[in-house]
Amino acid sequence: MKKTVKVFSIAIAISGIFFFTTYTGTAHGQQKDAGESIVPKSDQIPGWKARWELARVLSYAKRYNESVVEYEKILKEKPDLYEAKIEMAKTLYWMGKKDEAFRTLEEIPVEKLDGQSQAALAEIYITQKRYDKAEPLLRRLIAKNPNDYKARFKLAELLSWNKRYKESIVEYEAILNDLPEDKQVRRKYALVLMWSGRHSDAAAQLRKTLP
Amino acid sequence: MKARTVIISFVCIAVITTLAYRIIKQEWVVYRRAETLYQKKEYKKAIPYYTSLLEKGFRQPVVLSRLGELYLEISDLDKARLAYEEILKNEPLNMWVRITLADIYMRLGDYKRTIDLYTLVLSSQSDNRHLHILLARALTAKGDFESAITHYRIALGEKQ
Repeated sequence: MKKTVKVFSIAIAISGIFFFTTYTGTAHGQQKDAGESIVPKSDQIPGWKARWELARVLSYAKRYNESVVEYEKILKEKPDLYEAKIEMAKTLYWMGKKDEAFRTLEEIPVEKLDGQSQAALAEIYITQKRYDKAEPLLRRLIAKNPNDYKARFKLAELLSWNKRYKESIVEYEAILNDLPEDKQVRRKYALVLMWSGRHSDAAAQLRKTLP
Repeated sequence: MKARTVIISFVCIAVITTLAYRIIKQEWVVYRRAETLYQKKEYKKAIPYYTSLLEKGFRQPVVLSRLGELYLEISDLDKARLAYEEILKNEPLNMWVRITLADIYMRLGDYKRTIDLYTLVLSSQSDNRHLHILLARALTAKGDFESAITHYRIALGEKQ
């Protein structure tokens, strides 16, 4: 009987220890304390990324020369960072260095260019009368967004300058189908109709543009 | 006979201990439940448990921290802000809490408070390049490009 009491007492003691140590006390979480590192390694910003952000901010502050210097440093380290290259080209363009901007854009594979850069590059090709280079860029933009009327309008113009009137007319009609009130486009359309020998159609279109 | 007595005793002790725990330390039961849900990443379910703990006055620091973390997980930034502001009151020197709160302010578009907090943290950690970048981002968002440039340069080891 004494032994049973002993065992019982020991069991109570063990339970007590278990109860007071396991279930009470401080809640243990993964809270970070003041002494711990405040920046997890996964969140560390690499130098090239910080420099890229700096290049952007410099361009926002219109400190274009410094911005380009930073972009060049980044591209030296990461030559395939096309997004940075595009941004550098835009910065060069804002600086008025259009030729440099153009050369920079030309170095980038077309599929890596964003829509804005493709449009800019197409425009530069058009001013240089390199229509063969501009056309695929414009077609790419239209394929991606059939409602890109600016690109379609440029394509229509480009085709007419190349005397590809039928193709040009198709593009003009596509625009006017969606934007029938655009008188400027209609006037250009009338002009192409005239060049293609459709004088009465051209006159009809011109009449529509009159007040 | 003896063996049976011992077994019965153990069972009784187990039942009494569990009951005592559940009655005396009710909030710890809730806390365990909340923690289990947290571990299982059932964040939305865990939140009411942690909230009820706070309402009952269960003021373990980890509870507020968890709550802040959970609100961030579910992108309830306003509630996360309140939780972290409360934590900061209790632990004004905790850098990690300051950084997290600054990040919340930034995400809420409160750039002034973000800048104030990062500036405060930087006053004691002026060599922390990551903090300079975070401050530069906040300054950029606020439109203070010149100050942002200065902090980017410092972060890149190009002190002006």
